[in-house]
Amino acid sequence: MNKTFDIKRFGNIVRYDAMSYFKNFGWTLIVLLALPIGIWFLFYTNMSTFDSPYMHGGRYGILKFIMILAVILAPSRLYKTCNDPRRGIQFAMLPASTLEKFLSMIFFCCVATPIVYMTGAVAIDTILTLIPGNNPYDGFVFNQIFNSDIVTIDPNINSDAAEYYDDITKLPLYKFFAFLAYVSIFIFTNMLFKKRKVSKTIGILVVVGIIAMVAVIRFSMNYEGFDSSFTEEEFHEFNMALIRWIYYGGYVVNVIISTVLLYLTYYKIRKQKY
Amino acid sequence: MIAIKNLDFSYKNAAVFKNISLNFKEGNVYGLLGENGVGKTTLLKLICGLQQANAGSCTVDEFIPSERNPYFLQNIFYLPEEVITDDTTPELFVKKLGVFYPRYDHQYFIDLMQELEVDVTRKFSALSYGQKKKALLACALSLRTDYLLLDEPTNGLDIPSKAKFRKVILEHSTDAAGTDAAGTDAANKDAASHVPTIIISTHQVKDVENLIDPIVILDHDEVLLDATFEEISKKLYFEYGAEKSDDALYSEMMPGGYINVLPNKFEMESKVNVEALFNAVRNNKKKIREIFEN
Repeated sequence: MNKTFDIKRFGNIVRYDAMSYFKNFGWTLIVLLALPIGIWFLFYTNMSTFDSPYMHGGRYGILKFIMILAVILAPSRLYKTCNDPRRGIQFAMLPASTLEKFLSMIFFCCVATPIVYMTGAVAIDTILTLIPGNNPYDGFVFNQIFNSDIVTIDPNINSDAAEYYDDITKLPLYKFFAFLAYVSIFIFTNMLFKKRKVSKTIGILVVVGIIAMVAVIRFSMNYEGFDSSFTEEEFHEFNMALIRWIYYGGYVVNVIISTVLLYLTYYKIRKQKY
Repeated sequence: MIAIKNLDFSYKNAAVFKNISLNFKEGNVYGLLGENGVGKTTLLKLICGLQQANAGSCTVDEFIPSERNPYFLQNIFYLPEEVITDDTTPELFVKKLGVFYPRYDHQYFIDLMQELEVDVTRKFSALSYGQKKKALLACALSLRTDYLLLDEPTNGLDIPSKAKFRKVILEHSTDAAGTDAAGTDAANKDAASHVPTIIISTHQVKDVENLIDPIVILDHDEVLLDATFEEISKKLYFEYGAEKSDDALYSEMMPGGYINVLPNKFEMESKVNVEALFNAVRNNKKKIREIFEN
């Protein structure tokens, strides 16, 4: 038997976490699963204002957005107490290695939660679609599941971006890291903060966003300065290089954020004092 | 064995222990006594790896607790003073935990719950504070770990429950309960022959009298006493008399006279009174150290 990872012990910790999954996260899931019903009802009561039935592609986008919300909330609901000086003792004293506890945490936040939410949401959407009579929904949303990304960068936003989008999404584990970067932030801050974990994280992200926006605006102002000296072709090339830089840079940032924050989460679990 | 050598520990700038050394040997029920705030809970947390020493070492069967090795964790259980439970029944709670502990004995848990008169099927939220404490004690004992650390286990228990607490701990430490619950398979035989080391931290010394031996008395950042009852009765004489003795290290009025704690100059036998001992040690730190060092 190995002190770092043993499959039987890992099975035990997964079973242990699974037994509290719905108790800790059930109500949040119910509320998030009720949102698609609310949206359907909104469409149903305002059907006259829409020219055509609400198509499954758009609905799937909404479900994905709510799924991301579920994933963001999962660490703070499922592992709320694991860094608490009093309530976290049980978690720390469980006879499993730090790696096993960490992997179980990642499994329930990053794998189980999206699957549980999407299964529930698609089942509800299917039932709503099957309601006879004047139904605002047309076509089953599950048709989209295997033809869509977990995290979408809409190539139609910028036609230049579309040119690179296909190549960029071929980068190794591109979608995986884009998704993981979102989740790892909330998993790490769940171990870092003791109270108001999600709101503090969102606050930090807003501040970082504002700083990034200011930086982009300042860059754009300088950019306009030399813009006039470019020919149309040079401007297009520069624009394409910039987009490529943003996408590749985004990929690198996602990989770095995921790796660093997940390692720090592991380290925090290992070194947490109670 | 739990071995603590030259251990220093502080919370930020507040020193809790300075260069303390202690050994907890297998198979004993240790009483860890001390006033509020002397570091009893901190010492338990250091032993089970929830805190880490600033200097010196703490090892449990060669494991370094702060590394939280799973093999170390499956042989130790810490029951904190505060009752913290899931919103579930004690039976589900212990079943969830039990899979991690190789010597977990479910029948023993059921027997203990009956002994302590707690309903296995009622949710923790429907139990009183004392019942919750007793249910958690049954959970802790049924895991049959080599080391069991109990922090103020009698707080919140009524008088009959305190008596039952003493009974189940005594049976557990002498393995009487294990023998009763033993089945025919190898695992149960192993559980039955297993004698744990129990450390009971408390400031309510009367609750654990006749249960603990040896006794460790902590003071602010040091160990005042670490001795068995045999050693204590060799060094100190507990005199129950009508008058207060002038030579006494500590005297206390009690119904019918006084209890005097005196240096045992003539090697007379007496029954150790833990509360009087505690006060004698607390009031005569230097003198007690001299007596026990000789």
